[in-house]
Amino acid sequence: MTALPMEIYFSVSMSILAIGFYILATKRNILRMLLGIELMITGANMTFVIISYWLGNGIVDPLVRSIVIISIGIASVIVAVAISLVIFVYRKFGTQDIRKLRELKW
Amino acid sequence: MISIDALIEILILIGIIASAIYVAEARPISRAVGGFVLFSVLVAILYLYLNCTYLAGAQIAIYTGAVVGLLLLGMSITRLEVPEEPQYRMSIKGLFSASLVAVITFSFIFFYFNYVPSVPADMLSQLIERTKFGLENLEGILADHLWKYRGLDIMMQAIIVIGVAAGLSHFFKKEKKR
Repeated sequence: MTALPMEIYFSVSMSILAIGFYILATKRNILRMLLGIELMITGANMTFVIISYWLGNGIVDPLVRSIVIISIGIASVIVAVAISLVIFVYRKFGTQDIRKLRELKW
Repeated sequence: MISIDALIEILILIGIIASAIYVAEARPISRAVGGFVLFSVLVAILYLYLNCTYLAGAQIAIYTGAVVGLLLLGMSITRLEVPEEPQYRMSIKGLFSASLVAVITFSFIFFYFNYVPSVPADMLSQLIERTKFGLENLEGILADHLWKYRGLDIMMQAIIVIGVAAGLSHFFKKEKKR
């Protein structure tokens, strides 16, 4: 078992989720927003693992491990698709600012 | 006296939070990607502490390898353009609502669970006995039980949700004014 109580781990994973949401809500650079999405996915994965560790008394359930592995794979696919979109947008409009893109006519 | 293991875990958790904040606030995007590398490595170490060796390996391989590589590729193709971030003024109301939510959440997590009254062990058998002979309806008994033993839970969750909604609405109102 870990030396710290599980509530502290849970608070940290929730804080990671909150920081990811803060990035999505306030930042304008698309690449940074992508980093925020990745932070949120990592926070969700951490929450899964921590709750399973807590409920299993030190043993993480194999189902949770497989779900987290699938989630990590899907996160990498999200980044690949989003990077291709970012490159396309930059070539077409010459900007990475999400608010300028909102004002443009497609 | 705090043990060495606890100290290492505290340092890892503080490092995770600090690197996530650095990802959010570093001005050039390349530094934010560097902070994300540190964040992924620290999360992998945390997984190792939680006895998830395979997850730690996947975290290192996929996040620190593939995702960061793709981000660096995107940065190099699109040049390092950094749009100006909007400046937010310090808002007393937003600060107050955020601190209220934080205090309530932490008190709920750390202290409240010690004072929850335990549910009597023979509750289920009583319930079965009383409904078997049609003395009372099941919904009424369940509602009574929930309100008596879990009413405070529901009220605490409602307060947290109201605080979050107030903070969010205030935040978006400030942004709309700009």
